[in-house]
Amino acid sequence: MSSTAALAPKTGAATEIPSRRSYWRKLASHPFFWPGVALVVLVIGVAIFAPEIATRPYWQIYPNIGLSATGGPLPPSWSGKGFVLGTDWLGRDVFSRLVWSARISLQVGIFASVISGVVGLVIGLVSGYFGGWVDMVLMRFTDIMMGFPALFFLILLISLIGPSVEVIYLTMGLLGWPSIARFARGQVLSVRKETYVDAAQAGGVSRWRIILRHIMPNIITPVVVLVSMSISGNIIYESTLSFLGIGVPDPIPSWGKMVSGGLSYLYVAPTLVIFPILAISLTTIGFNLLAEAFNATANPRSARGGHRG
Amino acid sequence: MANYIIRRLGWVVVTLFGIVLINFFVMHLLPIDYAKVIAGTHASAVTLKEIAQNYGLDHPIWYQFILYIRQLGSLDLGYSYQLHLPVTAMLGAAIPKTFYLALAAVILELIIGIPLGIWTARRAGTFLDSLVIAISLVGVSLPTFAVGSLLLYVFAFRLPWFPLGGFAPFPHIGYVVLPALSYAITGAAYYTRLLRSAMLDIGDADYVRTAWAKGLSSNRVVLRHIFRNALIPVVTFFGLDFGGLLGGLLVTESIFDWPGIGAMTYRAIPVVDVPTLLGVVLFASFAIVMMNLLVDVFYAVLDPRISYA
Repeated sequence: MSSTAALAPKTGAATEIPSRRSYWRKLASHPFFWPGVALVVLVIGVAIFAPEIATRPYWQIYPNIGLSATGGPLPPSWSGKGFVLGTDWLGRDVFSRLVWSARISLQVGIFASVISGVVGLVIGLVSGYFGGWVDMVLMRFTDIMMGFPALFFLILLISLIGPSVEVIYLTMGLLGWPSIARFARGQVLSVRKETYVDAAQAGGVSRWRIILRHIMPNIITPVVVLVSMSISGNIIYESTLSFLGIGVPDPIPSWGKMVSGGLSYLYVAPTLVIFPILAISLTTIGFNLLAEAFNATANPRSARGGHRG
Repeated sequence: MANYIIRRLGWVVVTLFGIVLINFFVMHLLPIDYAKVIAGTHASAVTLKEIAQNYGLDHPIWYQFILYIRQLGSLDLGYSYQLHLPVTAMLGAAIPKTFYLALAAVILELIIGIPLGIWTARRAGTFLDSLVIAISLVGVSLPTFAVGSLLLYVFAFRLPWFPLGGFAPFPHIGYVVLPALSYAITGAAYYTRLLRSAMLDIGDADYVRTAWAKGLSSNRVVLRHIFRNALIPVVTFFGLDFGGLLGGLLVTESIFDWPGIGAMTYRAIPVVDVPTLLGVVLFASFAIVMMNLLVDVFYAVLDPRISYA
């Protein structure tokens, strides 16, 4: 057998406790960190400056200049009519729709993650600090929610309420908290036995004040990291819902919707599918590169992270 | 052991009840006129009243819940608005096809993911390892619909190796390859990362050091001592991710027109076929709960340290 070095017995020197500065230095020297930063900054920049970057209104149909002589979509071209990435089946500008989709995807992904994060943090804090039957009931409820088939349940809920941007991130956010609640609870359990919590209790500080002033500040960083890692998963969810025809309503563009619409033209105009796939993949790859760098810095031997959609 | 399973079964009953309760309240507490959902928006007042009576909507809510439980007890999930068939019968026809696809997808993801995970864990820190980690990061970042669309384009259209879609029963494997692979590529990437990280963690354990010290061959240590224990998180994750599997199949079934539960859901979306959507959610939740039960039992068998008391 060739190299088994990684799993071979180690002669261990005691690991030193890293300082905060060395943490950032290690993070910045991880090979995935800067590519991840670059991609995420690029996507956020495109989302923020969408009105400036887009060359045409995303909803505008150009029946005369935007379609080929046979009425099909225009291929990408630098010269000519100013449709750099071509047009879609209605004669809309693919480039501008891609750009605006970045805004929608990030908005839905970030809002959903923030909602899940807040709900999960509150439930985790209460459950972990109070313990006893409160913990039992909340964690059983969390287990039940975790057992829900998220995508199917989202489809049912959104069908009943009617799709809109707000409904989509609200339902995603209100279904996505259980894993964050569990994680936050675990963090609470690990700090609530610390001396400073005992000291605060002995000093007669109220329970809620202990939770907010003594426990929360000590668990917030890892929770925020977990919540930011969940953004890419939520972006994938949003695009999957749009792909299935239950995402953001027309005329708002979304990468998932562009792919599902483009599938009918896959054989004549594959770029209609390939461009939005590239856009969404670069976005989620960017977020996952960052997540991986954070993870590897905090826990050097693991390579977990990433979200399945 | 028997005690453990009985306690677990008790918990399954509680969870199923919770799921039914949540579904019921979702249907009845949302600001939706359920009679209108059934009859369509153009129904007359008389029709609405008749429907309300037929479906027991004029009873107090606790009585409606009892009616609902009784209805579920007799496996009655109502009729699909779209196809006017009993939802139970539709599920009965779709489940075996989804099961076949799920089995193919799981086999593929495991026969790619597990060997790759072992292989790359043995080379942790080398260039090849980083390459596999980078590729698998791209793998977990791709939404299932993106992988499916690309596979369809390349291996069904450009290279006519596989059919463009549709279903054929078992011996005709050609039909199942692309839909299964669409899900399995992401899954394999995930299992590779999970197994690699679990194996590296376990590589530090005392019993592994003992195994090396005894002078066992590296294959024996890696496969018998490290890999076997690293399987535990893999099995756990498999149970946790069963909902993700069902969601992924929903996407690939709709791309490849595979007549399972996913395609059934996909067709119900545009017409808001509530009984079908609700039936699918209930079935998927039940399947997830049962899967978790199986995993827990399997887990207890695999790891003697878990107490059954």
